[in-house]
Amino acid sequence: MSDTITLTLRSPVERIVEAECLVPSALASLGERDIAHLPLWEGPNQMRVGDLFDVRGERSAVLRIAGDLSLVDAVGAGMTGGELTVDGTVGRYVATRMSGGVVRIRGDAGYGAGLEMSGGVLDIHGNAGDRLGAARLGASRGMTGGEIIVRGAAGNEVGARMRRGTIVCGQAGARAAQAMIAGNVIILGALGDDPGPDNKRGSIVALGGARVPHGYRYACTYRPPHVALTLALLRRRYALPVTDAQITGRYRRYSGDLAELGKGEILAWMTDA
Amino acid sequence: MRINDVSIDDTFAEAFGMRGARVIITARTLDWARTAALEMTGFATSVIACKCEAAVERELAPSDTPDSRPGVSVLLFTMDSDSLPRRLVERIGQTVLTCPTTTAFDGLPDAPDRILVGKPLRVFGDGFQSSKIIAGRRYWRIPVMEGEFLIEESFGKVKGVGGGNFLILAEHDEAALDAAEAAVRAMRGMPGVILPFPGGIVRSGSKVGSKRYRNMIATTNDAFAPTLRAITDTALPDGVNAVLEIVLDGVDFTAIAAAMRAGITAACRPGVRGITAGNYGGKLGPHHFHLHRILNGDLTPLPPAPQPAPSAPGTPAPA
Repeated sequence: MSDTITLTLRSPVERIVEAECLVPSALASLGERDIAHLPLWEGPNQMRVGDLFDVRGERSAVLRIAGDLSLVDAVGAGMTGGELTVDGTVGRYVATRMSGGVVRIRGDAGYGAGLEMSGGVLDIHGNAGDRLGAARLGASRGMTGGEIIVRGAAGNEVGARMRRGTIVCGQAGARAAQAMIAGNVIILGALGDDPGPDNKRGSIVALGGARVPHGYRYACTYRPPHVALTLALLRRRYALPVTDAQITGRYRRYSGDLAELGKGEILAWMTDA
Repeated sequence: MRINDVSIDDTFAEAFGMRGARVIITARTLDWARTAALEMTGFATSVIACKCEAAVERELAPSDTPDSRPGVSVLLFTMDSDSLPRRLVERIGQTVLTCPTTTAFDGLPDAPDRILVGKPLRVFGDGFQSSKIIAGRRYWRIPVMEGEFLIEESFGKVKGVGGGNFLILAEHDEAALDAAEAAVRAMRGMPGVILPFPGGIVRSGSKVGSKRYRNMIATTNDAFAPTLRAITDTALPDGVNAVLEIVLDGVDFTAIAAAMRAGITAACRPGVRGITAGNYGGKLGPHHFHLHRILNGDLTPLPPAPQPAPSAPGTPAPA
């Protein structure tokens, strides 16, 4: 038994590989040889973990993967517990359908990171692609729990159709929180165009300002206590660059999307408050 | 045993089981948090007539509160499980919800027993309320004229201990008050303990029942009333002309024992003849705080004393 299982990429990956097996809980009871024998898929072709990675360590729920995995998809998919760290960039669908544990990505993540996640923590130190924490295309619900932290910028449609949970991004692209049902999307910096279309009951917290779309109507300027609580907790847990002024400050509240229930909100921090 | 030439009786304080909750009230300033906490804990000295016992446990720095604002921790105890949520809903609803800038958090998040407090209060929002799950805990946002009141949906409940006590037997009223104030200063802010009486001090300690009035559930503790020394079975040593009592409720035995140790030690001052404790021969409750044991540093509970036969509903704990 080891403290950590370490997979080190031997050579650059040239075609997309699906790596749903790279989940701490799946490796927790396996020896080195068994781990090296786990299947990966390159299109229709099956390959083994040992074909791509050097495997060190065994029987641990702490997994570390080193290398550029930008063409490796579904790392940490369906994860239920344990700890997964990627020292590098990952491809699409990292931590999709994750329900527990912690995933740390020391680089960027591709499309659909944390897609339909229901619990646990996904902490991306770089940037994330489109549809972070969202629903699969055509599905009714995105993220339903847990926390996603993106310290860099996220792409378009962050949190689309999310039902519960919290997403924090340094920046976000267009249509953030599209058709959001509930939950929190917090943008520390720039927020793209048309945030929160068809938002039902979700909260979009914009610390770097927001161009409020037509479906929202100004309600008031006040100090939302749940934002203070959320930001204080996030700062403590993840050392995010949140200031005291943002925790205790005033926010302009816009209710919307009025084409839906109108119970959602955009809370835009007042820098001069 | 003597401390600073003050005699410590070889006796024990007898306490009983209660149910307790901790409420963390935060506000924009410590003054407002304190204001809400004082309102919430008003008229909550004794279950004899107040239905609960409550007081400020301690003040909290912003770094110690969930939302990084100044706060006050309040403990509230009742005699039974059912009435605990009722008292919390009544008191938070009337005194914290109404107070500017406040928020109410559960101070016992790890307690497995949960009671619903924010959930029944949410209906004040008349359908405009909304909930948020933050770090796995559900909160209710209740719109109010100032903005929003935020309260946690459920609060932890613990089996606490009520009625820890000691009596300060002094030569005169000033010495008794000085000693009691010193004891309160030493105990205030200790974790898990409250002193629910005015200023933490009781002048009207009571005994169970009455010698004369059938319906009275608690009457004056005549054995310790100096004016009755000549006409009753007094418990007062010679030279004692004033007695003040300290009553403590706490989240567990050890918290109360630690506070009693600090309080008794601080109360042993000039003008104090002795320290004793109120017990009722084991009839009242299973928790016995032996003064000598506590002062020797043993703060662990003894095996519980046998429970007395159930008394009539509402039988109070004497102060």
